[in-house]
Amino acid sequence: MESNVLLVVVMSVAPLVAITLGCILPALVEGKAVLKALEAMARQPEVADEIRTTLIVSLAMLETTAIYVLLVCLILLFANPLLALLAT
Amino acid sequence: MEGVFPHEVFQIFGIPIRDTVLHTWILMGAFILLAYLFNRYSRLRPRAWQMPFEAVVDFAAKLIEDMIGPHAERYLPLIGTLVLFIASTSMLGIFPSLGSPTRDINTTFALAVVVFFAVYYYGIREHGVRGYLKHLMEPNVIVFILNIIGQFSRTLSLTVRLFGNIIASEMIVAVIFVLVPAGAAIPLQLLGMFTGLLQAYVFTVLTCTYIQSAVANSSSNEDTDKTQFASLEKE
Repeated sequence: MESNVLLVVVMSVAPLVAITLGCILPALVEGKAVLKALEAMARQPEVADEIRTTLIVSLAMLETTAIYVLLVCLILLFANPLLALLAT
Repeated sequence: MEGVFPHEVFQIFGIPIRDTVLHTWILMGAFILLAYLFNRYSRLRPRAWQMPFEAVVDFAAKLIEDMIGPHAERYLPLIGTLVLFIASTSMLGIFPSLGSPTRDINTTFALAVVVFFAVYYYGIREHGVRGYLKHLMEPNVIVFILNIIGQFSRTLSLTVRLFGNIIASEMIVAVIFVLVPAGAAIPLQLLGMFTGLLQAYVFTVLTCTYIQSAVANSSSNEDTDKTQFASLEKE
């Protein structure tokens, strides 16, 4: 019984920790990417369109890491395979 | 909260049909009807109602020309359908009691599988089977394995990116709606609309990039380099 309570506590805290870290790091890196892109656009406005397309694609790539974390958190919260262990 | 996840509506011959599938069918029907009507009533000298449709086609064609290069008409059916379908499915989520079909991971996985095979189709059509295999093995054989792994992993990332973004925005709206029923969720729904449109754009741009890398011709790149050098020398 005690170990079950511990398991539930761990499984509800773990997604919180994961989503916190998984949001902070991609947000910082995305900010850096946008900063550099804006600097480049300000320096060379004539290639702004190309930079914008590349920026959006690379932001999507960076965003994917955060989305992976979200997916893992959703699995942990709503479709946790470990909960089957708890039931038996 | 429960309404966020797709649920089973009814069964056909024992096959469960989820509400996302039903909404996808409704959208498909609407699109087929629109395309039929547009083909029937469009004129060479356009009237006012024809303009938005042509703007969508122009948008997709310009995207293809920017990302892939010439022969936009080859890729227009696929790319245009992807833009229209993902944008409209993501917008469907703003209506109450209708959820967007892309919040089901099966829908996004189906779209990503379509892209996966489209890349092979266009690559083989451009280079032939042998030429495309050779293209995958450039510059040596070890890269071939990496290319194959990359093609599977980008299918996964396309799937998860669209699904994650849509379900996250819908879930935020649902949570706020449970906490504050009156009107507080409207700005977040607008944000969700924006995310949906942006994800439609990103999905299409990434598809264009993948197709471009499949049809890219290494020898034609050298040709453009040569012409650039020639123009530089002229200057």
